[in-house]
Amino acid sequence: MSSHKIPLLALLTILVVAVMIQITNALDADPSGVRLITNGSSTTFNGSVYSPATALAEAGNITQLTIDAVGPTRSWTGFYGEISGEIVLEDANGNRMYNWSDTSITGELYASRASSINWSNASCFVDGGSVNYTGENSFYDMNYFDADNINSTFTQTDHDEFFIADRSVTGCPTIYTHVSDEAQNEEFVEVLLHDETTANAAIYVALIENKDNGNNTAVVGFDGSTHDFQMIVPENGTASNSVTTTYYFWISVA
Amino acid sequence: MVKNNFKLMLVLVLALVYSLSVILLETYADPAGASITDNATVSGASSPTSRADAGGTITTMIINATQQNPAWKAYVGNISGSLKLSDSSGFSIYEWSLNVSVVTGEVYATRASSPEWSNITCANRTTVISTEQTNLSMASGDNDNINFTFSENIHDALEVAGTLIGPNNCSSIATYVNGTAQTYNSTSRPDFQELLLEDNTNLIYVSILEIDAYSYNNNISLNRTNDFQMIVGDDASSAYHTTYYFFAELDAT
Repeated sequence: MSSHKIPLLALLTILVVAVMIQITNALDADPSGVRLITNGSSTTFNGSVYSPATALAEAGNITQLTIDAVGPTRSWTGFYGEISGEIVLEDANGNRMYNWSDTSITGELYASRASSINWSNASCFVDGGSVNYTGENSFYDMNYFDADNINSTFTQTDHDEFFIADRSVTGCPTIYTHVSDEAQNEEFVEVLLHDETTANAAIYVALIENKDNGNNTAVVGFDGSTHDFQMIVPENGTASNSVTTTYYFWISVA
Repeated sequence: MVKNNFKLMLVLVLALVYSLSVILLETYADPAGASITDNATVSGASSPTSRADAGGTITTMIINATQQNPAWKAYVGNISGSLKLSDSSGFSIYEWSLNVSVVTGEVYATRASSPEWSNITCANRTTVISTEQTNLSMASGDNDNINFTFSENIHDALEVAGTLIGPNNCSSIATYVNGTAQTYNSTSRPDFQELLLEDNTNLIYVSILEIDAYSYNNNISLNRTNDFQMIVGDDASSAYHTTYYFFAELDAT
């Protein structure tokens, strides 16, 4: 080996090490803002799906009935869909050295009405602080006794561990959205956090379902089709309110 | 974090491509078809009164008669249910079971299988109600026809498929509690309010749900309650039973 190659080899080694350091640091990074959302169709509850029951009774009679009814919630909206992207190695000017296409993104999708979150303070939603169930419910015009208010919805705490930067998150209020129109407790986990500093609001977290590239292991969602994520967030759908809540989205890739 | 001019940053670029479906139920969903799980029918029994008089007498009697009305029938009972966040195909992403002790809303009964909920308004006495009376073989002078029966305008406000119906605007009644007519006025809310709506074509009976209110057949010792009670018209001249379709609109509280 010539003497000129030794310094070059040393420089290359340093650069490789620097890249590795950067990759490691990035894996401990806070969630980043989602760059692009392509909106698809929006549909809503369709009462005609539920055919009315009939009752025959003779005139002059009083008939006892037990009625089972279903109605739409006025306090929640749902999001679902697919996530694809690429992991890149580029400098601060956006000059790209390399990229890796990845259609099997895993990690977490975060949604909050707050436009800015102090991720170092993001933690399990615990009632009693500055961000509490009473205040959050009130913001969306939900009442204490509502069967579908926030605290009556997020009643479990058994979600899988995930990380915000390098901080482990476990034991937070949890729900599982439906698979094939049925309740279940395995897929499509959603967790409730809050940030009582910068955001001063709740944060809804959907754990992204793994979808292995090139095979058929995608997770079936609420409608019988596969999806990468599903989540529900509160919304004031009462007749007296005409303003919709803007939600901001972040993502953290594992 | 290492900072320099040639800092290599790992930037995550994500393109989210979704079918973003705001599966929510807006405020303006139509009442949904209700399912009925059981029923039992009670018809009025009548025991005859008797007397014995000596031969040769002429007895004047004032007879008070009670007879089951063949032009009406009633549905009473309880309601259970759930709230869903569903798409237009009926797939739900989440569901909330309702505590039956706090379910509010309305039960609707109509002879129409598919009412046009976007046209809901108070029923007009001279058009829809009059036409319905004719359809049920009720004469305009009958004192138990629909107009004579629903002679009041005392009821709560309600919302039907996004349309607000103001208080005391529609023809209404309040069915009995404890076997007795209720005493009320426009400022004292009675239980088991029932009012008449229309969709420009069809008459719709609406029972505003109560939360376990004492029922028509309750007494002090029985403690019977119902979530709803309603009377609907029937064709007394027909051998066939009139079919009614039931819908419900629920609130979380």
